Amino acid sequence: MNRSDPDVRIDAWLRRELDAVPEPTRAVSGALEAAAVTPQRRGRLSWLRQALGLVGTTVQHGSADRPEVVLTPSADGGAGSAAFRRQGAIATPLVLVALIVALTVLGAAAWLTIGPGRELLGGADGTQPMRPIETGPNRSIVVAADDGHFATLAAAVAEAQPGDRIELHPGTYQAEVVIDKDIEIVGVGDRDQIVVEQLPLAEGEVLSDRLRVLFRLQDSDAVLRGFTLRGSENGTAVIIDGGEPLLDGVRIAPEGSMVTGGPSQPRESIDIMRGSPTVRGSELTSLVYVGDGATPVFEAVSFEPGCLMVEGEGARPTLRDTHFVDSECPGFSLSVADGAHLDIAASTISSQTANSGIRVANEGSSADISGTTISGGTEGVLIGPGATVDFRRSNAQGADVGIRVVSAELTVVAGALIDNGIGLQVSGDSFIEVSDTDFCNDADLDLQDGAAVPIEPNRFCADGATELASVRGS
Amino acid sequence: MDTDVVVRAQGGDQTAFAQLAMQGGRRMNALAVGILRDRDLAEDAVQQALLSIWKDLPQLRDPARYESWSYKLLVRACYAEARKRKRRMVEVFGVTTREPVTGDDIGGVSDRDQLERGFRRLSLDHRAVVVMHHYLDMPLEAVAVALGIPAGTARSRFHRAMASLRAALEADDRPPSPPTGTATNPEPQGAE
Repeated sequence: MNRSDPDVRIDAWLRRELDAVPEPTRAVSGALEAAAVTPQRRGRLSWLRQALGLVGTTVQHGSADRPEVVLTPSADGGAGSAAFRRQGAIATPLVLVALIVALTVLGAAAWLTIGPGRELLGGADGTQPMRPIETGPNRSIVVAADDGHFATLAAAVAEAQPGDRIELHPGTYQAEVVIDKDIEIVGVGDRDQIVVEQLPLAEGEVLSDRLRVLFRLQDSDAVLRGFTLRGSENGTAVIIDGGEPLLDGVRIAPEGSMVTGGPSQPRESIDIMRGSPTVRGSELTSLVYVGDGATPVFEAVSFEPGCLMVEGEGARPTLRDTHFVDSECPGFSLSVADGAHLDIAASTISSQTANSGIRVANEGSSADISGTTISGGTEGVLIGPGATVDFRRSNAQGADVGIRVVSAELTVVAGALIDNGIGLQVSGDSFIEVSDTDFCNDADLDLQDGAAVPIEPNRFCADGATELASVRGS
Repeated sequence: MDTDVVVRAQGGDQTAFAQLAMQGGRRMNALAVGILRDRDLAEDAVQQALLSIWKDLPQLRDPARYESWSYKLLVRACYAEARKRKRRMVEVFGVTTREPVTGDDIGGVSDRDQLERGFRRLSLDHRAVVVMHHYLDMPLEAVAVALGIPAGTARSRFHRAMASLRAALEADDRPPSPPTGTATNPEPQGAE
């Protein structure tokens, strides 16, 4: 074993662990049994392929300069298509005519289904203004179903110049846009009636084919204000990559249940990769990710049932008057890792699930927590190896463990109220300072593995000696 | 992976699908175990993923992409499984199921424990990237496509995960620190 090369040791460990994983015989047999009685999902044009005798075939497209269609019969012959094979030529006139007819019918059906006020795929008809736009700087561009300059958000964004303001009137707009200029997009009217949602799946596209992003803000100081962003699965509502954008009074609400990071789940409200955005007065119902190089500010934001994940040395979010309720993220409401720093004040975190309120995970990670109440869950604050936390004038209450410290670099608890099953659980080589704190727990201290805690001066709801006696093992 | 088999399964051939499931099953199970750190949960996820594969297979446009696409569905199933079993995970993650340690393996025991702990501290996102890149030997760009994330995000997640695992090892390599001096660690009353 090469003790000097961590990567070799990690690789060896991982291979040893996973090489030992057996065949999933139960899973395979179960899946095969289920598949035997489960029909496959066919594309919406399957009837056309059936009619053309192409069932069970694969179609491969050649390069642009050498169009090629290869139609290979399926094993069972594919009704009437056994000898159907061509290379180096475009499809037969019959196929082309049938496709044109089908697309025309589908297009008409889509128009009737989607109706006015919603953007159409490909929307060539929406790229030109429906009425003249004023000239000069700082223009107002109206997006509305009937009397706006544009019926589509994408067309308005393409038209807008830095300083312009796009007004979104009530309606549902389907768009996935990149914004690399300083523009303002503002909902005019009831926020809940102004909805931007993802484009529908293209024919043949499956949900997990690509990440769906409503707004990608690229080095932009754009303003998004007063409307609802609604995603579906496999989507990130907003990606912020640089700049100082402002999200003000928006509601980001992926449909369906939420889970962190799932590649085909409604995974992120906002992915802040870089930049210093401000999120204010908004409701975020799924994960917000703050990456290395991002220094966002959250003010008066509701995360319900959203959560915040912060990773990387350059990640330094600031939270004020921000409230987390019943996070659905597995394991935490708020996670700080890999050298990131969190500053949270005057906020609340409550959970009825098995989450950590705040998890400060590992080496170099840190958090300043003040004026904040953390309630419920498995533990209020989990402080991992090498992490540093300053928990000041704050409350940890109603959790199984108020503050759990595992070999942390430094934990300061001052002027706090700790009221839980276990107040302070400490293990490993942790350094802790506790002062001016009220302990009102079933068991105030649980010291493990030779952990040390200077316990005076503090206050105990019950008799101090009794509380000290209620440590683990008593 | 034989694309002819994929094409036949796309056409509804259950024998071909069984062949796909058995050919790729172990690697899928390894990926699921790597992400979930629990063999029972992993098998549940693999089963769900295989069923999703069967149902959605006709919509896979490029049969040559079958393997990457199947991992995508598997990772999605892992997340769903993790969410469904969130409470249970808290319980089972504290229990380690292992083969007996042999004499030759003694040198790796310390690493194993540190890395196990370090790996569990990683988010599911990070575990998925590490296993797919390190164990399944997928380029990070392919990992990004499979997970539906930008390539830069895949790279950063991988590097952060590795940094975290290295830190876990380095912590184990460090000599123990001296006592902090203010110990008031009481003896557990009633303990033997």
